[in-house]
Amino acid sequence: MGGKEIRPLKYFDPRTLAKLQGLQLRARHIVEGYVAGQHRSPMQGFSIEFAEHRTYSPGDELRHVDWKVFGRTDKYYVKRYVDETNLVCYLAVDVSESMSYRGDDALLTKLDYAKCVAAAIGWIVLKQLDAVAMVLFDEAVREFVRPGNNASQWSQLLQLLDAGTAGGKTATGPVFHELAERFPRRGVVVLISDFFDDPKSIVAGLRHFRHRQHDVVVMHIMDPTELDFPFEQATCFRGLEHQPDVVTEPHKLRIAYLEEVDNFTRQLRWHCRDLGIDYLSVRTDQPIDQVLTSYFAQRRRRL
Amino acid sequence: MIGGPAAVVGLPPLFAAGFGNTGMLFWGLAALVPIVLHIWSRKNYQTRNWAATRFLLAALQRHARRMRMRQWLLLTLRIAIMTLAALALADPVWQSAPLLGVPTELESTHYILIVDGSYSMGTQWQGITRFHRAQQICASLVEQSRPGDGFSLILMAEPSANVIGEPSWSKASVLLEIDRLQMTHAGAGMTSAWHLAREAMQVGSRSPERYARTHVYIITDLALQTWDVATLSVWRRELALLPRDVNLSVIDVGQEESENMAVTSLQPVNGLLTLQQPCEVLVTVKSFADRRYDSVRVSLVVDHHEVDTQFVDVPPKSQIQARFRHRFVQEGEHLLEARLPVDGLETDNHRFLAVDVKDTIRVLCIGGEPADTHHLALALAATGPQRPSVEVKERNEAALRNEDLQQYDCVFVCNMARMGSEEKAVFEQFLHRSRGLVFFLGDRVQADSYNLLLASADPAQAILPATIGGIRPFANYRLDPLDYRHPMVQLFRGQDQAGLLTTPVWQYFELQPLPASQVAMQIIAGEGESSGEGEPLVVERRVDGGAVVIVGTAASPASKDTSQSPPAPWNAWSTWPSFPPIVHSLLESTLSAWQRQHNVMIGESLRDAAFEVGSDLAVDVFHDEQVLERVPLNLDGARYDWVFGPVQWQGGYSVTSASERAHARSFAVNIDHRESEPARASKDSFPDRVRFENDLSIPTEVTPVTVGPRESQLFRCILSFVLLLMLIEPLWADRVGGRL
Repeated sequence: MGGKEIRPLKYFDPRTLAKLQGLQLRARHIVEGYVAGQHRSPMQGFSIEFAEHRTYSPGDELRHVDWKVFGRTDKYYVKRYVDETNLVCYLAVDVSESMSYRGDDALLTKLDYAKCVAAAIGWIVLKQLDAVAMVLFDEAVREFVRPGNNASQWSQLLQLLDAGTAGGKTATGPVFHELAERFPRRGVVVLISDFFDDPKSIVAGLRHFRHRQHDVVVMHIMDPTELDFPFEQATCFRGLEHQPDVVTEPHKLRIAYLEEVDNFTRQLRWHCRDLGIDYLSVRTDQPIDQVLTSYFAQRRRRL
Repeated sequence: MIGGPAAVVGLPPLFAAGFGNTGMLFWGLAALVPIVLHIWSRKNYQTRNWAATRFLLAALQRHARRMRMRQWLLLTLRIAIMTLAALALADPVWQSAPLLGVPTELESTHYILIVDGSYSMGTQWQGITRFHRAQQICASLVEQSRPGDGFSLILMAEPSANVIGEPSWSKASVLLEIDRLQMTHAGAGMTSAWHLAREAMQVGSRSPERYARTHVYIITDLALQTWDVATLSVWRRELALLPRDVNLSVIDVGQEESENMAVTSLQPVNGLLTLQQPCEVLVTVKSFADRRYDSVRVSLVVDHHEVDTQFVDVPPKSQIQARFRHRFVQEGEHLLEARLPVDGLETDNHRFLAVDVKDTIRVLCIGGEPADTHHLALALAATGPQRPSVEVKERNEAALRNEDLQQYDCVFVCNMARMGSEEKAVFEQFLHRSRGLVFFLGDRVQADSYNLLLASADPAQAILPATIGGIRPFANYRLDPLDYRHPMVQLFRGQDQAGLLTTPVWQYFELQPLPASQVAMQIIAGEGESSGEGEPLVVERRVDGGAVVIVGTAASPASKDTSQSPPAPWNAWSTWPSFPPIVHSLLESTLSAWQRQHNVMIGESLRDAAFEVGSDLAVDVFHDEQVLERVPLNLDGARYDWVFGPVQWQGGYSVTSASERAHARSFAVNIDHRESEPARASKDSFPDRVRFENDLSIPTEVTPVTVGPRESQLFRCILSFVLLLMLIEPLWADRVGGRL
């Protein structure tokens, strides 16, 4: 890199990534680009964790006073933080059949895109010497890499991601319950999926994570065609994950379809906010660095 | 109360609907296009994997009903656009019940309008003529008709004219034809008009419109001349064959209290007019009124200039004659007109006469011997106060070949032995120019050569009025003038001293008249008073434009019967007092051919030999000093002539060469004055199935509207609605998600 000007977008643009073969190469590009574009440590968001409020007493530093609470209650509270020296980041990637979908104009499948995102986050966490664990799941947990922060963890993660192929149905509810039980320590749980499942089941699983005091981030990956539904000609839609085929004239169904998608995402977003979960809607045609940068910036502001 | 075109009994519907152009409705099939596209688009689809099927299924499940409703609405919208556009193209019409009556059903009717076109329809009443009133009535009937009704239009005249034969549903076209109708100067031929009406019925029954009913309207003034007993009798028989579902109405536009006065005759007293003698004409004025007319102004107009006026008293229902004298100062053809003041019927207040005034009458007498023509020449040259100036030349047979006969008005051929084809050609050329030819026979005549060439088997080609038989035996014969019926001998009526009846004749040729010949006198053997047993002696016939007379005996005592001892003359006529008058009468009679040819009645044709044939090969016919028509010349053998007609309008006509208009020929066309009689047929004399309607309930003023405003408004309404739907369609399609 040296004095050479780095343009991060180049590294995170799905068009560029699509030309690179192998996840390792892709991940390196993402990370290099990401680092080149940052001026502050991105680890801050994950390293300092808010714990609880306590009543202000003389001698406390004024910078820890929560002024928002003071605005609402007229009482002084100070924030308490749990300063974890060994943060664990659990990356859960959906490898169900629906993640193999790629629209006509998209360059990556949803799964490829999710793998890139997972690899990038994993590298960032490992870079700050925290531990990373990874799970591949569909209707059950398919692969699990235990948390670690040693030098081989990164290669292990990439191997797992590379080996992961799409197949099976999505069953987020049971899987999330299982994962909530299997993740031994509190940490940051990053769920990367298209969440094509029953919202109630999803919410139940998420609630379980929260119950175990995990900090949960939901990354909702969608193909642009799934969001825009731009089809005109009469089409037979062959359902993945054992869904039935549907023959219809899409231009006539567009409005109704978009209403359904909007309802679903709105519902999911609303429940996440209700549970204190970060929700990110991600299109596979978005540059990954933008997604990560904006999310981390947003998270820093909130904390 | 007139029923109107749709007036029949029954419950009145509120409206009638139809289309101006039914064929355009086929465009409505275009409404199938959106349906076909809809079905076709559902049959052709592509296949793709899809992950978010759950949303698709949910959308289908939750919105299927609403979506289907929207789709049906969109499809209906598109079909409606195509259907309404086709409807608008078909020019829909929607009418409320007509003012005069109401239709019982929405089936169309074939109306046959027969308009009396006789000149009595020109009678003025309350400021307009009966004919104009008839036009108004027709227009009113058309305007009040319903969409889909068809109209035929017949002008009842002589001959009747089929103005609209095939039924027309276009009101505008029918109204235009009604407006263009012109009254004729002829009578009205009911029989021919009814014949055309029957043809129109047959055409109507075969037309694709399939008219449910036929209604015949006859608009007439019920003039007795048109509706006489004989005509009504024939019509009654024809009506018996008419289907019962054909309605027949007569609309009477005449008036009972009509009165009229007309010029019924304008005749010259003398047939031969020269510059030396004043021209005398007799004008007959006839009153058809029950009252007396005092001091009626009668004018004589010569060449469009009034030259004399007389005031006459005309008793009720009678006629009087006025005698005019006029001296022409220029020879040639002139047009005379007798004129009455304006009254209710203007057409019959005029009478026209074309005359040919000569400086002197030029006559050529050709004889086998000079003695054969001597007495004849003396008789023709005899002058007197009543006799025109006649210039006579005597020549022998060679003159027929050597002289130009066209310079003579009449040629007398006396006792010429033989006739050859050369002579025949000369005679034909001569007669073609409306000249006179008189044959006197005699002892040298070889009848066979006459018969062979001049009285051929085809009467149309014959020149002689009769074939010549054998010579009757020498005996005492006397002349029989046949009650003086022929104009040639009318001057002897009551003139016993003239010696016609005592004219001594002892020998003559038997004559057998050809068709279309008239026998002026016959000859009877013996001295008795009996008649009917005689044989023709003087026979006349019109040939081409001229006239030919043959006299079965000689014009000179030089013809003798040599079987007698001593030889006895055929007659002593040439020395008898009756000879000069009869010779002049023969001259006048043959020369009257010109007058007969140049004075015709309405419905006859104008015809004449051509002028000197130039490069134009046409003549121009003028009427009222305006060119009426350019008529091409016909070549008949070696002769050119022309025919114009039948003429429709009375008045003076002049005909000139198309290139040289300096010399015009005059013609006079007159009307049949019988139509002037205002007497009307009784309505009781009409067949029972004829329904009479008076016209008082029909509006006087008829607005010539081509298409009713409501009709065009309906078309515009539909078109506006289509445009509105076309605006809504893309918006709705966008909402539904459909494509254009």
